[in-house]
Amino acid sequence: MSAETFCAGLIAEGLNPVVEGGFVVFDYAVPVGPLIGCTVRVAFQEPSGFPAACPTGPCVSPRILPLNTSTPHAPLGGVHASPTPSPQEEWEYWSRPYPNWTASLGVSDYMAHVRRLFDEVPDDAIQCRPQH
Amino acid sequence: MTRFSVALSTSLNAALTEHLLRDDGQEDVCLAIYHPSEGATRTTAVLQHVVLPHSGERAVHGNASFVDEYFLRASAAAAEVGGGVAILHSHPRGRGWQGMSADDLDAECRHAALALSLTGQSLVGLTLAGDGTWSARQWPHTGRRLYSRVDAESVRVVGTALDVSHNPDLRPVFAFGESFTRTLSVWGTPTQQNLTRLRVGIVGLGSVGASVAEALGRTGMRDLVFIDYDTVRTKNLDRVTNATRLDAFLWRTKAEVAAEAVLRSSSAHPRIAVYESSVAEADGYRSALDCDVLFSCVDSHWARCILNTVAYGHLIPVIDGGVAAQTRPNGEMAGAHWRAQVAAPGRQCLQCSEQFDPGLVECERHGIAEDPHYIAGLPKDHPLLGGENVFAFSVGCASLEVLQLILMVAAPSGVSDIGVQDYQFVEGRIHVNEDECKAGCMYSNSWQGLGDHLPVQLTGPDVRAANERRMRTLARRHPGVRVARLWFRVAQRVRALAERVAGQAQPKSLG
Repeated sequence: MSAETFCAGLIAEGLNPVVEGGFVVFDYAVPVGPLIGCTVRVAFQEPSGFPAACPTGPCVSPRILPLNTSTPHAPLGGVHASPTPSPQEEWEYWSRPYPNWTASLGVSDYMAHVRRLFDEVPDDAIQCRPQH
Repeated sequence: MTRFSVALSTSLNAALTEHLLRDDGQEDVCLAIYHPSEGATRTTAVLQHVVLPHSGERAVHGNASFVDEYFLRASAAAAEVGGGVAILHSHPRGRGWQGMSADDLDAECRHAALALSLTGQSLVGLTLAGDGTWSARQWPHTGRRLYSRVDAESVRVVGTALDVSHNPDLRPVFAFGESFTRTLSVWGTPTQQNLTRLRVGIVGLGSVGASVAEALGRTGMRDLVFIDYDTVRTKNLDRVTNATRLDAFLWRTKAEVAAEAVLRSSSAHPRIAVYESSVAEADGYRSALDCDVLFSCVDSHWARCILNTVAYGHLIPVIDGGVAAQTRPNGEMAGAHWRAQVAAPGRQCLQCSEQFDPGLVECERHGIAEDPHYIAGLPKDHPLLGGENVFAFSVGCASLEVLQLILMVAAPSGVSDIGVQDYQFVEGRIHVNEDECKAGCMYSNSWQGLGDHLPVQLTGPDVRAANERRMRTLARRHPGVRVARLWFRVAQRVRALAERVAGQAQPKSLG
């Protein structure tokens, strides 16, 4: 039920989520930051605890940022090779827990967090610039 | 056979009492909506909402009765939310757990079939005595056109206090002997009986949980549930009460060791159910729902999130505690604090008191927190790491938790709720926070009393628990461990026999 609630919220945001292999995946036209207008694929591990718990961070394809597990801190740290939806495609997982999440928040609040993450991507750190 | 109980919040109890215990002393009746809560061995009807009668829907005439339209209206409202319907009436002159008159039996039995067909849930009946004691029963379908009464073992009213009506037939009082003289001299036999007839669960039998278990055992608790998948290791021996080097060598579980210790130290012959599971897994979770109150002695954001839903959704108070020690970069101790609180309606929940980070729940749930590559990149003070602790701190925390239970049940001088207690070790003071939940908190508002109909699914495979069980199974296959475990079981049996013989041979004057 919770994953369905999450997907319904994404649809309400104008997105088109698909559940694949334990992940909720969708194409995302980046609305802010140095990648504005580019389309990336974003995925979340199926959040069946939503809204009591929220996704721990987005998986992003292609690998926009270099992998970096030496520090957990954004914008460059906490970029992991897994867990991601597909080993074949180039994905990376951004460990970015939502600060002070509460169960009264919803999908629109979480996607605002995702927008902030893309806004904070340093232009000079981008290693792969997706197409518009 | 599955046991049965009923739970309701303090605020709902107040509304029902106001309606049912009339100023003119006559009986009255009303209906309510409940949600089921299915434990491993107990079903609970969690009353969520009262449906008061409109004018003309019930008659008060010494006894009380209601019209079919009222029952249909309440049943429709219950069915709309997936709940069941309960019939509640009062015995104003009654004291204690109430029996049923022929009229009472007839009224409930007659509506059992209709309730099931309209709501899909069995009819529940409750009686409120004049002294505030509830009694309850369920009417499940047991055969062709047959609905048989199943009496509840308890009715618990949950809020800033925990007030439980115990069915004296299913939860008889215990004759506490000389071993409990000092305990009884402090709070008296009625409080001792109220306290010790609770079914108390401890989730996590590590450094804090093991001390909680010991305290509860010695206090005389008679019905305990221990839930923990973890194994005693050498690194635990400086903090876990009753764990020994032998337990670590034999790869015994913490829950098993704690149970054995409590059975030995308690003079009240407790019954202890042991679940070597995580509360995040289905059987661990269901066993937690069998309890009247839970101690949360876990170090997991996921487990605390689950227990928070249990506290408000299933109306099982959760007593949570934790220890945090701070060290300087050079390794010296900087300070420490430990805290304890009760999560229950009317009190601040674990999310609002920031006892867990909802942003990290999915991290643990999906096993990310077990990924060594992920962990390696985290700073020392990350919330997923830590765990520095010493025995004295754990005992301090356990003490605060147990005292919260005693306050909640015994309510000395009318005080049952002292808020969140935070003991600052270096300062030597307890800070108290009596805030309620934040505005808009789902736990204490929309999700309260929903039982199994909570709109969140938090349980699932627990990677950490599965890894631990796998490692334990492999370790126990080692020939040395296998032989040692075999001899240990023999020694346990010899010990049990010796204790039985000693018990029989002991003069009655010795405690």
